[in-house]
Amino acid sequence: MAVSISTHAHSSSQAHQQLEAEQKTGARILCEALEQEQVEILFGYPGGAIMPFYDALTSSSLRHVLVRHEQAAAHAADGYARATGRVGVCVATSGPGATNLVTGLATAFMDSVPIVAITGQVARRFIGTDAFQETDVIGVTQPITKHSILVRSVEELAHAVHEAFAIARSGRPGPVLIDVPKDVQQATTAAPAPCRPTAPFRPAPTASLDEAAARAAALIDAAERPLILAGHGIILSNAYAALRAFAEKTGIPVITTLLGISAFPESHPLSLGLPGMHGRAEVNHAINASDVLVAVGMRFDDRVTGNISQFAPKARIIHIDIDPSEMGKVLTPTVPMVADARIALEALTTHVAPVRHDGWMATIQTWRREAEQNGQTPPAPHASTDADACPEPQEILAAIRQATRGKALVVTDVGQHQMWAARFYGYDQPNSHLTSGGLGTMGFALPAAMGAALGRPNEPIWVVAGDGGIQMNIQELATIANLGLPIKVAIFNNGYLGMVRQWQQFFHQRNYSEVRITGPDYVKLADAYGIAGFQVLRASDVASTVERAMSIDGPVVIDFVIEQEANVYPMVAPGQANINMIHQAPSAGGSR
Amino acid sequence: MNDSKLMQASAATTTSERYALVLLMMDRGNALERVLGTLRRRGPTFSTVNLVATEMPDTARVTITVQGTRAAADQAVEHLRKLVDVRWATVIPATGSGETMLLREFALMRVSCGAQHRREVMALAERFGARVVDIADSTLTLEVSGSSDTIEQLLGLAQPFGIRELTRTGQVAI
Repeated sequence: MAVSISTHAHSSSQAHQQLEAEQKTGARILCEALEQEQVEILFGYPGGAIMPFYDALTSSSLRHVLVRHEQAAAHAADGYARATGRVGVCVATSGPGATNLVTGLATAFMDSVPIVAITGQVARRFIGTDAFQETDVIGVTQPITKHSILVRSVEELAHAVHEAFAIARSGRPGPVLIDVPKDVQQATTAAPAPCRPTAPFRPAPTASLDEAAARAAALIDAAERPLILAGHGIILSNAYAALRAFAEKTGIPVITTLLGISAFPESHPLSLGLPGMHGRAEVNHAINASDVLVAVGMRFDDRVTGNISQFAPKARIIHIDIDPSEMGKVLTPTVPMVADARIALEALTTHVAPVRHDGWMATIQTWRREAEQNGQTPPAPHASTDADACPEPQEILAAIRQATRGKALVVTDVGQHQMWAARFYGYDQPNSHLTSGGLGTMGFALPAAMGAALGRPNEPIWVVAGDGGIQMNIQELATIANLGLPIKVAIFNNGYLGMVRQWQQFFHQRNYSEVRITGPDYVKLADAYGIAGFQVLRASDVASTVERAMSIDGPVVIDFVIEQEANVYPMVAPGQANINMIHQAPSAGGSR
Repeated sequence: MNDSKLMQASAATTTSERYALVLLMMDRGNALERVLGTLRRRGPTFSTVNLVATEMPDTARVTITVQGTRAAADQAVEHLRKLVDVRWATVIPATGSGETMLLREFALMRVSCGAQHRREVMALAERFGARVVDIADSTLTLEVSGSSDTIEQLLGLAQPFGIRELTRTGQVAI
């Protein structure tokens, strides 16, 4: 272990002591800078190169949550940031501590989540010598951070922290990493560099917004089959009311992308739901027929568009995004509007004429009924006729909604359950659905829910995860138990890596390759962590077990043993147009 | 298909040309790495990169020559503008024609040249404003600066004598 010794010398002279009294260590400055940023909570894990910071931490006002793996620290900071709209903070030591943050940083980067990661680094004189636990974390994380700063002197430290927070939360939010050498944490200074207020790096071009809004409004007013595609930008800019006002004035139905879920209440008559690969059939039909798409705070992800050359073939596109590089990245919009979602929607709302699109809505409703009648869209949750049948995914989600009166904050992992949770819960509360959309990080849900639970302590938090993903960060049950966080964990256990299995069934002739997965006895596992655990084998026990979980104050794990080969429908094969949806499994054939 | 929508809408977005990306960048930390990393992942392929000092302390001018469509070059500049250390960025055709910005490059070339051809090569150099910076038994070394076209022309005319070695800086902008 590389131990660096503070070069700060003690002196007996009184004058020097007085001077020393004003001196602060880098570690102290770091804590104070975080306090000034009104950070309340950090998620982290100590180690050699970050020890001076942890030493100073005990005499600060900062609350620290000790996770069981640094990846969880990054996801927890991410979950906290998504749930609260504040900047999440995670801390790790150099080397393996820092590299363990990588997946969490990439997750936050893809989904535009503001987090600040603080990593210890080996002392400056050891940098570049392959010192113990040395990693070039700035280099490693360069493509997955919005910015990163290696702090080269104690004088620069406070400014670096404030700059990191300003960058993380400004414009399109994202993760920023601050790498602090151990000797910078130990060094002292009485004269930190002044914290220059960080100017906005890219002032939004507000001057042209009005003109763009007028052009967009002309398109919208003339549209016969318009649609709104609402994404994460609505939630990030707190534009719920602006979106609703715009939709209601124009009568335009609202599609919400995976990260746009809970940007618009699903019980609203204009709500259409999820588009794309596992979207609702009528939503994909509507996009195919649409003549004007108002895309707000979304980036035309391939899971939304399917084959891009056949996406919305008749539509002119109004693209609103705060990030200018999104304009023309995937599709070239007819009217680009580079602006914050709320500001752009408010500008649009003043320009558009009040309209209703009853005929267009009726057409979409017809597609919806046809899809349901043809079995193309799974029906709304219903009581199972066979009490001994397996719990059905939509029944579990309906039971959670019922037991929480729709007030749950649902944090999902990645896979089939993620799509079921996106489709069958019915999100009405703003920002009540957190998931890893862009990166698709299995193992996200449990640690992200810890951050969400600490950020929104008075809300019921439900984790919805598969039996694959839950095992990727299951160690965090210890953190959850330790803190007594009231997180209810619903494991959709089919004994398979379900989404991969579904692809193998559909596209690889049922050649099931390494998708059978075992797990522990989750009831015993929960018990081992001191957490209440239940297993549900029958549909008839779903609602009562969910109710029981809600009656328990602390964390609960429920192992829902669902049908092994349940599939997510509809499904669009990769590379296909979204209207070419698969509604049933290929006829059995091939070997398993 | 809506013609205004897709990337392959017009010739300007499909024809591959050379462009110069010109940035003013805070010269600190790993700023250049971030610029190049962004281009590596998102941008058109780049052939030359020059980072030079400017009249402003801590600010470097970076000129990057890329090959690709105008749309790809524009998109690359938008991504570069997002980098915190990039304070200003633009894209111009690498010919520099019709632009207020000037593009120049510098080259050193060692031309095979016995005593019998010296006069000829020196005359060639003079025509292009190149300086002879070294004379050896069998070579002449020329130093030239100018537009990329100028350097290409000189190279073309020196080619028959034989070019032993060539160092081209690539373009720098002002």
